Amino acid sequence: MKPCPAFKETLLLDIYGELDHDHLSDWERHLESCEACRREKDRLLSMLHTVKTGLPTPSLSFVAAEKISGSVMRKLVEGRTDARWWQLFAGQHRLVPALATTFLVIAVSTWFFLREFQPSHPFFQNAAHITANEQMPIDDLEVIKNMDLLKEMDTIEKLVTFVEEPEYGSLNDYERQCISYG
Amino acid sequence: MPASIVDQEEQERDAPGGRLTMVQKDEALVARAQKHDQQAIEELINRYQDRAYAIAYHMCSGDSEEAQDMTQEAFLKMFGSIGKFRGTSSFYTWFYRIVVNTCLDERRRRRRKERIFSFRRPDRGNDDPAKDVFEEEPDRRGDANPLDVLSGEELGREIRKAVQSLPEKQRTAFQLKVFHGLSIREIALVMNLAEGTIKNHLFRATHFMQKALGQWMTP
Repeated sequence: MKPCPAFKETLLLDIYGELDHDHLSDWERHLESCEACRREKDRLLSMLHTVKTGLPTPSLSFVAAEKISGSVMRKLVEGRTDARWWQLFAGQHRLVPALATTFLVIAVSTWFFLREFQPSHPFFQNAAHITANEQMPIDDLEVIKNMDLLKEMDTIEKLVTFVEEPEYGSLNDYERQCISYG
Repeated sequence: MPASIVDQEEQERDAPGGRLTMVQKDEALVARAQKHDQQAIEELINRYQDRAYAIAYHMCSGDSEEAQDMTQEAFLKMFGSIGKFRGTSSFYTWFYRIVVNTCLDERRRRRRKERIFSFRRPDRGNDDPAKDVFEEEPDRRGDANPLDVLSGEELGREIRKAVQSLPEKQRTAFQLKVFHGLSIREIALVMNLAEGTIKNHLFRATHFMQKALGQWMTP
């Protein structure tokens, strides 16, 4: 025997305890007269009872409960600390843009300062920062550095001149011409 | 089995001395938790962790370790976004929605992972999703009849298998109703669906379970 199709929804609402009082009295009257619906209601209630008892929900042990609450609290505190640090950089105070602007201003000021600065302060007048007027010409410095070599070269030149000179003295152009024409 | 929200609310409302109802107490605690009051946060955890665990336990196919992880994650998600809670719905329906969504997300993530790596483990395809809960929960009744225990275990496996075979929404609605005693209106708020849709899911799930467990029912 099948339950009455007209009361299908009412039956399901009843077994779940969701039937309102307006429909409850009609449904109870129907149940008294309809055995099929009564049996179906019993079957469904029995099924729900079996499901509930067959898969019991274990309660959370004290240790597990402590573990969960402790872990959640710890992570929340850690998260809040991280968030506070992050707040400094990206939050209300906007530290990152402020720092970036400061560095930019410093960089631009330094560039202008170095570009326009004429080093006259005594601090800058060390060996590495000699002014143009006082700087020794590079050529002179080269001469001083290679003085020994230049002296040797001068000696060699004198020697060559002496070796190449003839016994009877040096000839001028006229004498060379006379010799060549016989 | 944790008491349903409705029962507890009625108990608190009817209690002598004009105590606050559960919802009002929740509102007060939430308001304090939004201002990072440690005591209020702890009280909310103590108040809801049993029920959150119970929901997670059934949604995680009876895996208690996973259920504990999901409970913890749901709490962290809830406190992470508690500042956005405006009180348009009850706190517990909002929190239960977070618990349900956390479990469903994990389940989907796991299924995706299993689908990707299933070709590596072809011999594990016949895993019975129903086997875990009773293997984890030993029968503590020392004087229990072994035959009864055995048939009880088998029944438990059948129920678990039947529940797991339900489509996701039908399963969630059925579990919230049968195991946690939420009303259709509360389930609709938790699942963010219309009450009519929840009724439909619930009725389909009931008929399916009735057919699946037919052999265990007394005629």
